[in-house]
Amino acid sequence: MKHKKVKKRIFTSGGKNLVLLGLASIVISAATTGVSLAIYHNSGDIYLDRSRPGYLPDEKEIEEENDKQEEEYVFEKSGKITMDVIDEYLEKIQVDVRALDTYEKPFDENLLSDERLGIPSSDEGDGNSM
Amino acid sequence: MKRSGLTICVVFAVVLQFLGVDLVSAVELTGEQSTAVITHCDAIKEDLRKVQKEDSRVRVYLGGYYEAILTKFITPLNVRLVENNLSSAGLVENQNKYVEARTLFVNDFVSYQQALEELVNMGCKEEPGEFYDKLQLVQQKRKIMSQDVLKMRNLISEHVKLVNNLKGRL
Repeated sequence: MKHKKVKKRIFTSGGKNLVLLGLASIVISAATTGVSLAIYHNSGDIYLDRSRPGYLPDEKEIEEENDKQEEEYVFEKSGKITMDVIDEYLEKIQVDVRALDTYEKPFDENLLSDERLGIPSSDEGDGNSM
Repeated sequence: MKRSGLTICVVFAVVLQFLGVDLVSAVELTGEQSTAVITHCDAIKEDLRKVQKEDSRVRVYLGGYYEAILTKFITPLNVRLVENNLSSAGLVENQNKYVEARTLFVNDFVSYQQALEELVNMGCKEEPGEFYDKLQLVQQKRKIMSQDVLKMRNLISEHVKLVNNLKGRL
């Protein structure tokens, strides 16, 4: 009998509602986080995001990025166009073009070729199809 | 009768395509190839993970320069040319092609990375045949990426050439 009275005191209607509110907010936040993650993954944004663990830029990349920002050049949208302006434009754009060319073979096909992965080509095989 | 059969096949193919089922003709794996996939499974997976990370780095590097070339050079130049009544149809067309190619580069990269991630998560020891089919799909998508990069580079070269030609009009 005594025990019942104590229980009643702990779970008053206000306390019960508070617990329900807490649980409901946890469920809602878990559901919305799940939906957000699903959208993040299915939209492909995850593959463009380098802030995820394991894909963070290394120190060298950060230094390169800082150097790039220091040498920021933007061609003016207004003003006269002369030979000197065009020459300067071509000189500046070549800096970025040269930087692009430093990657000799981006997405080199050979990097994932069968030979590279140690899989013999079908004509080298014994002809026994699986 | 033949016609209705053909129609059913076409509809079926369209539905499969819509559902994201790849209709890549699967090349049957030879015994030697299957053994190689199972034997080198861990090494292949390790290589794939390395490539996945490196490609992510390359995408950010190239994408950053593609963006910079567009916003710092191509767009402001075309605006300034219009202001000076020197607008060139060739340069505007080149800009439009450049924007389209850059969007394609990003979309193709996402598609390639999705396929690569699926491949990394597949069991090469349990399903060597399916693993190899997926690998071939990834190889195709990587080839498309390589072509996209080449296309971007050609458009930049074309832009530089058109700007050089502009000198003759000054």
